[in-house]
Amino acid sequence: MNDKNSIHNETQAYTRTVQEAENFSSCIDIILSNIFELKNKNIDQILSQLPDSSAHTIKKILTDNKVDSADHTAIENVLLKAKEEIKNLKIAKITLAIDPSEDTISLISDWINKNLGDGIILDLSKDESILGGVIISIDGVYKDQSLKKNLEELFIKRKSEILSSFLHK
Amino acid sequence: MKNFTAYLNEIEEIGYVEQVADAIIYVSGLPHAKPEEIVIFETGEFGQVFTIDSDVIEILVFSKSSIKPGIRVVRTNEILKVPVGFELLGRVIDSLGNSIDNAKPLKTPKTISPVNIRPSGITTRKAITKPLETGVLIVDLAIPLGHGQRELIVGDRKTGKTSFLTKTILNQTNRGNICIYAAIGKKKLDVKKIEEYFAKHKVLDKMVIVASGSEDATGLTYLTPYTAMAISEYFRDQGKDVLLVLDDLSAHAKFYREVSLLGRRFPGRNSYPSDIFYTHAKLMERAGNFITEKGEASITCLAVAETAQGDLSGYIETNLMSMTDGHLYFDKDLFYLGRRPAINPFLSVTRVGRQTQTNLRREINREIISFLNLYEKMQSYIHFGAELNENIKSTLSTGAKIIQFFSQYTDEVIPINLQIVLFAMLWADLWSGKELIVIREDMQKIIKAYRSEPIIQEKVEEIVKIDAFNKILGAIRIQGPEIIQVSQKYGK
Repeated sequence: MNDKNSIHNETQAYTRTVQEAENFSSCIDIILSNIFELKNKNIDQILSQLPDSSAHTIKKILTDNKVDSADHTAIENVLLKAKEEIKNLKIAKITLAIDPSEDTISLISDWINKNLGDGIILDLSKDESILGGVIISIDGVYKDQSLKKNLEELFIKRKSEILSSFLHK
Repeated sequence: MKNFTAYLNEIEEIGYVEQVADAIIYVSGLPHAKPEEIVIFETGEFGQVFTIDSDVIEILVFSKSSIKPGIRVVRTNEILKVPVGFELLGRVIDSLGNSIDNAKPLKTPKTISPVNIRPSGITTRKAITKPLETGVLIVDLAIPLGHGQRELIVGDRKTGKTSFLTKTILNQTNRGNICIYAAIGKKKLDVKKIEEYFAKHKVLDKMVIVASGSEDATGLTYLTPYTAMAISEYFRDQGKDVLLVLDDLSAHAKFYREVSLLGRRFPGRNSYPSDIFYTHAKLMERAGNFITEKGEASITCLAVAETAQGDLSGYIETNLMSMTDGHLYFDKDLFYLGRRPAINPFLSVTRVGRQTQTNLRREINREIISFLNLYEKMQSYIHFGAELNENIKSTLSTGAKIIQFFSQYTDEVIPINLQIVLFAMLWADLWSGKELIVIREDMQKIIKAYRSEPIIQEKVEEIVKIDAFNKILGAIRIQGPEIIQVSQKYGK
């Protein structure tokens, strides 16, 4: 597998949201700051201090790139590339009316990557006032597909009809 | 204008403030923003797209309130427009058309006009043919101006430029023309003084003061001459002759340099941006004499530039000289010699003013200029004192009288016909052998008598009907002493 593609794919797969990207980036920082210390003879020693999921992804990146676990300079180069990949990810700001579950986040992330292209992470925020649906903004394009906006439009469009139905009651 | 959310839902584009550099805000997003488009921040402030880069947009913001990184921005598909109309007369407004005086609330005019538009083409323009009276003797007689002319008023600070401008405004408003005064980056106190001066002379209701202070947002100050020009264009389209005073464009250039440098534009000469000439030329081109739907109407633009130590070769000054139809140079040395106004007739230029003059005035103009040239040369003989011959002594004495004749008090506005008669009286040597102070006093009396004595007015009007200066001199020798005598009852 091509080095760059492997790093790109693994980074993509692991980081769905801004939070995850920040966590992954700080894991890489921990490795980079510890890797040349004498007590750390092996990368596995450092990885053991990290969360399992991050450690697993980093290990996979290193394996795919055929990096010798004792060659600290090669590890450093690969991890710096991974960090650069994270930095270049585009951010899609998503506003929901609920706190999304892990499944929902995966669903949204998959949909975004399928429809808007890869290399996009989610910046999720909660705003109960939108009632439902989603507000999404990416690359300066803003789409309000919230229930609140749809209802407002509906009320404006069918104002007289709605008012008359109330009056007849 | 709609609010932030309305534009967001309508345009469906969003940007985020990335960096704040005083008047310039760097914004990411807004993929289809256009130059000069208005953008609204979610905090309610608004600004104008200044520069578009590949990944960031620079916004020139029109308020000083703190905009922080992360704030959302939306574009509006609209360019900056200001309310224009007769409601603005008598008011002091800022560059966005908001009232900043203490008078009653401003009734916002219904018409709105774009602030920065392309100047009208050649088909809507007409040659300058109407003379513009400033009420200032040396200008009207020696360096005349015309309606639609763009004249630079250049000179060091405190050399009487504003005094000349206020005199011109007084004269023009008294003739029923509209005056727009743009105070660019002036102190609030100075603006107040200008407002009070015009209010005192009861002409404020025929003019609009567009003012921005040094404490205002740089964006607002940058906008001031454009707003003043947009208002002038409205009145021009109503068939009015407009006098626009831009006080001053060298300050405007400095503010434009500030925003350009903040916007990381490459600095050119004296750190001014490379488009400073274009910026001012585009503005000045909007003035002129036009054919409108309501007939011929003009925008006469008196742009002010401040020199440093009398240096006329400064970058902005020479730029402005090359885009105007002449300049009046206020000489610091003449000011210190006591000349008021301190206009140097030899370094001043009018390119289109003379074409507006009648044969008589052109003849007087030639007499004055050639005599002043001679007088200037004779000045070098002055230290010979008693050894001078009678001819030179006479030239020097007449020269001193003419210089004295050109001196005016601040509020003194002299109608052109009276100017001609007074000059003819001086030229005919009616005050032969009299002290300069006596001549000055007599002239003051005649000016006062002209305003209140119908006989004097009739005589003056009758005399100026004569079409040759020599004939006028003949008539003055007969009627002049009577005019002096009648006016004696009017005190100093």
